[in-house]
Amino acid sequence: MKTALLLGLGGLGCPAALSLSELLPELRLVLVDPDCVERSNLPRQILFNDADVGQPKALAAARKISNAEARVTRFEESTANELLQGIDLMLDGTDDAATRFFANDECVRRGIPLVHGAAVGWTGQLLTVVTGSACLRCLFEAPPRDGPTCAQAGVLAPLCGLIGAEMARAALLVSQGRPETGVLQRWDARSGSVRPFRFSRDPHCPACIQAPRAARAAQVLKKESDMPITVKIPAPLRPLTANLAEIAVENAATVQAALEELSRKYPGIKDKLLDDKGSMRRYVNLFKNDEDVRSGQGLSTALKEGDRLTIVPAIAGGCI
Amino acid sequence: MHLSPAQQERYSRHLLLDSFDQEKVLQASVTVQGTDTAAHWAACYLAASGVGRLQVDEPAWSAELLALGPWLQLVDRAEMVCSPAAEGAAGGALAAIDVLRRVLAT
Repeated sequence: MKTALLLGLGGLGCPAALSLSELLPELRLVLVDPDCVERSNLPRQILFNDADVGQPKALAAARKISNAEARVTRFEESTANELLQGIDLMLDGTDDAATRFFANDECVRRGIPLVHGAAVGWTGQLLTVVTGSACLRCLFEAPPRDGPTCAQAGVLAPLCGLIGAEMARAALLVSQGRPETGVLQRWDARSGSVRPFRFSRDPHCPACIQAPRAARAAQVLKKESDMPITVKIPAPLRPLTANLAEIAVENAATVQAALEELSRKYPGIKDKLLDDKGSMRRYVNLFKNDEDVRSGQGLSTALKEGDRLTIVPAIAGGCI
Repeated sequence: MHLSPAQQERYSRHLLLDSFDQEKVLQASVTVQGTDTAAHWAACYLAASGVGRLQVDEPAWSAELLALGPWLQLVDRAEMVCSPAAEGAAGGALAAIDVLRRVLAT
C-alpha cells in the first residue's frame, strides 16, 4: 500500500492524517478538501490554529504533514477518476451524506478499500469496506434526507480526535491485510462506550452487489479491447463506413477477426473484401503495417495492439 | 463569566451540543500526566476544546498548546487529573472526552 486518499481535512481528517503519519510513515497521503479554515473549526481541527484561518485546509494540512500533497477540490463525479488514479486506500472524513455515499459507491466499484468515519453530536462511527464485504449502502441504502450535520447539531471536539485516530488504526489493519469488516463501530461520548453493530451484505444492495458483476464486466471488456488496431479504409469503400478513413477495431487478434469486427460495425464491407468462400478477393490487398498479409499468413496473420491494417484496391481507381 | 463574540464563534459547535457548558470548560484546570502519544493527544484536544488552565509534564509541547488555545494558561498546579488509560492517539482522545465529561458533571 503506497498512497492513500484522505477525503476531508476537517474534524476527522486532521487527526486521521496526524495519526496515519505516525502509524504508516511510508504511506503517501493525498489530502482532498475544497474548503478554507474557519475559526469555528479550530477546537477540533487540530492541525490548524488562528494563523491558518482563511487558508485552504488541504494546503495548510499538507504543510504540517510530511509525505502529503494537497488537492484543493471537491470529490465528485467530475474529479473522482483523476483523484483515484493510483490510490490504494481511501479514508472518508467528509461531513455531507451525499459525498459519503458517492465515495462508498466509487470505492466499491473500483475495489479500493474504504475507511469511513463520521462524528456528529456526541456520537461517532467507523466502518471499513473492502471488496466482498458489506458496504455503507448495505446498511443505510441511501443518504438520509435530513440527517443532522455538525453545523446544526454540533460535535464534541475530542470525539472527532477519537474517530480520526480509529480511522488511522483501521487503515493500518487494511494495510496489514486484516481489515475489520462487516461491523459498524459506534461510540457514544456521553457514556464513554463503544458498541459494535454487526451486519452482513444486503443481497439487494445497489452498490456492492453490482461490484463483482461490474468487475467481471470490466474484465470481459478489457479482454475484448485487448487488441485495438486501426484499419485504413480506401476512398471507394468509405460510403460503407460513413466516410471514415480510419476505424479503430477491437477484438482483433487476427486479420480475419479484424474484418469480422469491421463488418459487424459496418455491414457489407466484408463482402467487398472476401469472396463467398471467405477468401480474400484477388483485387484486394491488405497490408499489416507495411507488409502484405499475402506474404504472411493471409487472413490468419496475427495482429497486435497498435497495428495498422490498410485496405488497398489492387487496381488504382478499380471499384471494389 | 460570559463568552465573548470571538469565543462564541470559536466554540459554536460545542454550544450547539445538548448539555454542554463551554463556560465550565473555559474555567477548568487540568493536569495531563505522561509524555507519550496519548498524553500529547489528550493535552492538544483539551487545549483546543477550550480548557482554561493546563499543566503538562512535557514543556516542549507548550508552544503548540498555546497556539491551539488562545485563552489557555499553562500552570504549575491544576485541580483535575487526566491520565490516559489506553495508549496512542485514540487513548489520548478518549481521556480528553472523559475529562470534559467530568468537567461538565461538576
